[in-house]
Amino acid sequence: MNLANFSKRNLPIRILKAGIKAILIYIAYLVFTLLIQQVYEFIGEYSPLIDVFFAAIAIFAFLTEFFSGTIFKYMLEFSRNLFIIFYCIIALNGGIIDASVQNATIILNLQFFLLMIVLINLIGITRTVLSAINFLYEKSEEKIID
Amino acid sequence: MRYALRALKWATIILWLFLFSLVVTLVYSVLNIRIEVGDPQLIMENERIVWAMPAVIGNAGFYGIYNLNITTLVADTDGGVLLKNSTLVPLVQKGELYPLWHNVSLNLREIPDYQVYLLHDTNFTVKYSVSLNFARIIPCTLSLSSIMPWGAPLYNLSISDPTFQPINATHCMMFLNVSFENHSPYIDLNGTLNIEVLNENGEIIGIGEEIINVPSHQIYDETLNILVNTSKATYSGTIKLTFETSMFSYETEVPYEFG
Repeated sequence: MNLANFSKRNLPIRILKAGIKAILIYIAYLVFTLLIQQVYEFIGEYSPLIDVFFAAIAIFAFLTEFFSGTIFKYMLEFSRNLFIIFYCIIALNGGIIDASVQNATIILNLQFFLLMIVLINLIGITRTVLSAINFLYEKSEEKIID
Repeated sequence: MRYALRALKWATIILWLFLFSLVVTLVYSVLNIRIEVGDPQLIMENERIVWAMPAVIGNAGFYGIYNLNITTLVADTDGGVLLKNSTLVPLVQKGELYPLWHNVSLNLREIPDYQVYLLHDTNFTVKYSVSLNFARIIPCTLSLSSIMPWGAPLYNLSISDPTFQPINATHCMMFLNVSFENHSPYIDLNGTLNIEVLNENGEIIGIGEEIINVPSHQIYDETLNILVNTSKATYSGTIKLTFETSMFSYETEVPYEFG
């Protein structure tokens, strides 16, 4: 399905584009770690979660670009949005962050942000599904015209 | 379809921008909150010990701090709540410098079984809790706990067996040694020690009053002299001692026998 678009001729360009996107994500990760350096000791235990998140987003960015012009792109975008939703729910512990340092405990309620992230990604999922339908429709139209 | 897709795309972009700007301004605002806590002051009021903690909250951020609630809770070793004090600040507006006092007031008489704490040292658990709603969207709570050693003001209270010395046919002098250590770092004992000597029938046969002044961490060790009416005296009886201070009153009885 649509794998015909994967001609050997434009494969290096796809890889190059996908690679650049992934590198941009990596640069964003580096900037982010620089920005949070001051508060790094407080979120030290969350650093693996941040690393995994950026790694996953970079992989999704690479694959989405690599498969652009095929239906797989939309499947990957759909998966990425679902991944972000579930990842944020798990990483933010359902919106309630509970951290303890020695004899001090801090409880942060970030449910508003979780709600916002879920909402934005649900809109993203809707858009992806509609885009996929639109893509298939245009492809079928092209076949009819051909 | 294209218009719908374009609308959804723009909606996503606008929401991401809104979320991003919200996070940036919130982080900036949190970093610009200054809390300065002054030295706590110990005030002795009529029947109370008051710890007054001054603080100034400077909110130089973009958002207000709502429902700031500072609570101090003192619990005994079994977890029983001895006292709880809260200070509520409904709103610290952006750009405002808000001074506040958080007072923790202790009235010994209000503590259940407080007489136990007059005689025995122990450790109290002090729990501080600060809760607030930042910008109305981030409720958060910070809790701290620490151990507060409690020193008994009548620690190791001991009352010796009385000795009697006849004066005349109807009266004798009773000598009674009373000693204790004021372990309390907060309470200076200023008050009276009332002594009543009772015979077997509960009739008062001797009475005495002693002014006591025992500062914190000092020892009280005195021999008290009480004139006793021997005409009503019986072979045995009780001596009732009552400590009366502005902070508490404590009553104890010891038996005696005429030698």
